[in-house]
Amino acid sequence: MSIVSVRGLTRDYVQGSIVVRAVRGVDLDIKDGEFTAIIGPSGSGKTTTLNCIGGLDSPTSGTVSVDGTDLGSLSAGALSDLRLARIGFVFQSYNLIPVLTAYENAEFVLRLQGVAAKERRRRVMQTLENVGLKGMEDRRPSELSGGQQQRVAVARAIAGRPALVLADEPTANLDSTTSDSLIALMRDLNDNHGVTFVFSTHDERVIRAAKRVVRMVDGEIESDITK
Amino acid sequence: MRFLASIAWRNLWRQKRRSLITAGGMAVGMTLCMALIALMDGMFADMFRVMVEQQLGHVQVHNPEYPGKRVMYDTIEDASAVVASLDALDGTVAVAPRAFGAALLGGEAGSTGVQLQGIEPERESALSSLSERLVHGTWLANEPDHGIVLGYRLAEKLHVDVGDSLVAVTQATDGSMGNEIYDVVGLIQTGAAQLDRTGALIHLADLQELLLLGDQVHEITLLGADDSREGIAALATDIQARTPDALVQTWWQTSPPTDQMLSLRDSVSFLVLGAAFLVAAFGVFNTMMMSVLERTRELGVLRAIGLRPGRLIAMVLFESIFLGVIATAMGLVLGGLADAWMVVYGIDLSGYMESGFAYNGVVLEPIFYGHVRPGGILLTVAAVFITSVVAALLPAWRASRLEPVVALRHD
Amino acid sequence: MRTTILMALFTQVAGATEPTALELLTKTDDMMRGQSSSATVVMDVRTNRYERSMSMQMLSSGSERTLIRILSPEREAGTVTLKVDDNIWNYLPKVDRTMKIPNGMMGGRWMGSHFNNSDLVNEQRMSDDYTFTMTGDEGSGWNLSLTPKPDAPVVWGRVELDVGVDQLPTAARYFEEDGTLARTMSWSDVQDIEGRRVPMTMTLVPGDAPEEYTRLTYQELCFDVDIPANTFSLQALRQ
Repeated sequence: MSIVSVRGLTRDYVQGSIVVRAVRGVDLDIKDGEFTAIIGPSGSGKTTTLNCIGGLDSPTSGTVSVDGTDLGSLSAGALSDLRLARIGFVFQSYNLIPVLTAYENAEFVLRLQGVAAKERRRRVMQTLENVGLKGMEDRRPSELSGGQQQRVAVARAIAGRPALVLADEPTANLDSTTSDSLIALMRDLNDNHGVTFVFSTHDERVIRAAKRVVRMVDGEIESDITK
Repeated sequence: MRFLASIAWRNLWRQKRRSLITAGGMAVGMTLCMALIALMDGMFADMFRVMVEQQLGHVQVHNPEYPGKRVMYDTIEDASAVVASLDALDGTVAVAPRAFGAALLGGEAGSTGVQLQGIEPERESALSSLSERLVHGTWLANEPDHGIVLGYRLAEKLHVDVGDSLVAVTQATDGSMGNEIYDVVGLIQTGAAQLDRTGALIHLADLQELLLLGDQVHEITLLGADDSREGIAALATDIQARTPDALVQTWWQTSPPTDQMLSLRDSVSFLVLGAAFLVAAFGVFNTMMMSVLERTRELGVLRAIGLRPGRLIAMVLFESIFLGVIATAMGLVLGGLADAWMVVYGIDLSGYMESGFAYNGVVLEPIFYGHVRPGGILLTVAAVFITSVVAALLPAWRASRLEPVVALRHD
Repeated sequence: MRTTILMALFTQVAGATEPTALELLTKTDDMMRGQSSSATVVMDVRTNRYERSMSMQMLSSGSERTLIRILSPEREAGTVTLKVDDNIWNYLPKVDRTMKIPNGMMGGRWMGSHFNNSDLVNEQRMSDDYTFTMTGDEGSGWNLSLTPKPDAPVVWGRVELDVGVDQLPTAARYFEEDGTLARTMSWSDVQDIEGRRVPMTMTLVPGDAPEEYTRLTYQELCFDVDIPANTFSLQALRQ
């Protein structure tokens, strides 16, 4: 069964008096264990599609279902809870909480999920180790490099054991070496820990690593290739 | 929630200077409030002491017919026994029987009508400060010896001084003409016009003899150990049980205008608090609004990774409350110092007023000392917290209404 | 005119012809004043609070000077009230002092009676201060209704005077400005004293307490007695 099911997704933005249709009738299913890149030029609608899947943005028409639940039927609070339990996010510009340490950032979601302290500690330490940040637990984001920050962001996204991690241009701000190791990390998490990833990206390295590539042009899916 | 509080606390220190200035502003407001409230409480405590304790007492006992008409015959009988019984009551610290009688008071040089007040000097001293208002001579002797203490204006009018004697003529209770010579032993200056112009105090026993009152008095005034309303009301109930036929009234029943006047205290306190914290509220509002606006994207991230809107509101409110806590800590120190100053040194208005000011025939000293009430401090602290929460409500609500996707795009 | 404590002292012999209202009023006025006199009077006072009886000696010379000396009871014996013109002094033997009643206390009760101090000093004549109407005749006596003249210095709103067939007043009712009865004075027990007809008893009843009264009863009464002029002086009060 699909984790995500997108049907007829259309999203319009109003800019002044002009209506811009960013996404035009997209149908898409994401299954468990996928490592999927949504690619396309700027303005092709890939980020909007990703935001709609994550419940951060709402469709003008069409439906997005996660675990069979239509996101359009949920209240803001219920949507929050669904994101908390089922979806992890990795953003282009890391977006860590600056006042929290690497450990606390990764722990944040677990705190909100109400995971017990002992279990929380075990999982956070394990996750940080998995993303290669062992020994840096007590550093604040400002004391970490961009790549390290993005690893913390990945750790935060996966610590809560989501069904799906949505990553919006995760390598855009990183140099190539750092990008490679981050991609390798995510692929490893996908291969060995069963974490499902969906990217929006135009980084060739990510595309190379992806198991499935969905190309969008002008808000429509142009091709959908599973390797 | 503790986690949210911890984030809120750390967020507060991201703009250390701004937070401290805002908290400092609140602390200064709090200091002013504490000082003003202490001063106000001091004035009202002074007024309570002078208007209530020294004039009305906490509780007054009369013949039910006496108040209003003040007819000489409407007395409390067997006064000695009643007073002794009230003395024995738990919780009374002063029991002062009084009698009154209109009389013609005259010396060699003139005469005038006065209201003679018969008091027991020792008991009266425990209640009122009249004995401290002597400007010449001595207070009445504890044993009746035909001494009389006059208001200084009355003495001027009669052209008498300490050492002179006066004749009092009155109609006694049997219709006969009671008359007696009294020796002026002291003059009082109270600032209360009526007392200064017509006050004439003699020993209760002397007045009872002059009026042929026997063992009757017109009024028994009491002070209780507990000056709270509950304490006084309870005392009045106890007294009523011992004097079933008498009219027992608490001071606020005896004098509703005094009650109204003294009840202004809380209104004045609230007014002061309201004014000070309205200003502080703008500071808090501004700080919290800035704090929320400059962190729009961060708040968007928190919403995106699953923080419910309600908990986001809680987080912002926590931040504001912590601001209030810091303000309270600073304010308690500064305000405590201000209060201590008020209590020890007071505010001296004697440069503006010669001998205190009289209100409604009551004289207040021109130096006002602070009176620190736990209630006053609590009220101020409560005002800080209410301000912190109320002023942050709008910023918090705004933060919770952010669309994550919009917030995330925010730079 | 205000009823005075002295008003019952003197009277005129009644005339034989039908009197006019003015004549009756003048007689009443004159009954209450006169030449010199000496009397022993018992004053009984009854109020809701107390009853008392005093005896006193009264000396008067015209309506301007009066001296009243209390003879009993013992507590007040020797107390003297002296009235000269509009002034009243009390001599108090207990303290051996003389005190002038200040103007502010003229409304106070005299010796615990229903008379007040100003009753002692009043010298006004009703015939001067009131306009009047009369009903009645020689057979039944007369009733006079008196209304104050516009600027007359009187305190009553109206006075009703009952005059008997002997042309002597029997009762006077004094009303407040608002029409309520303030006091009733009545005269009775008329006797011949040295050829004059004099009511020996005078009773004052306050309008608001009809069960109370002050009654003056003459025990002895002599007219045209020779009273030394210095009797009515402050120096003579101590006797």
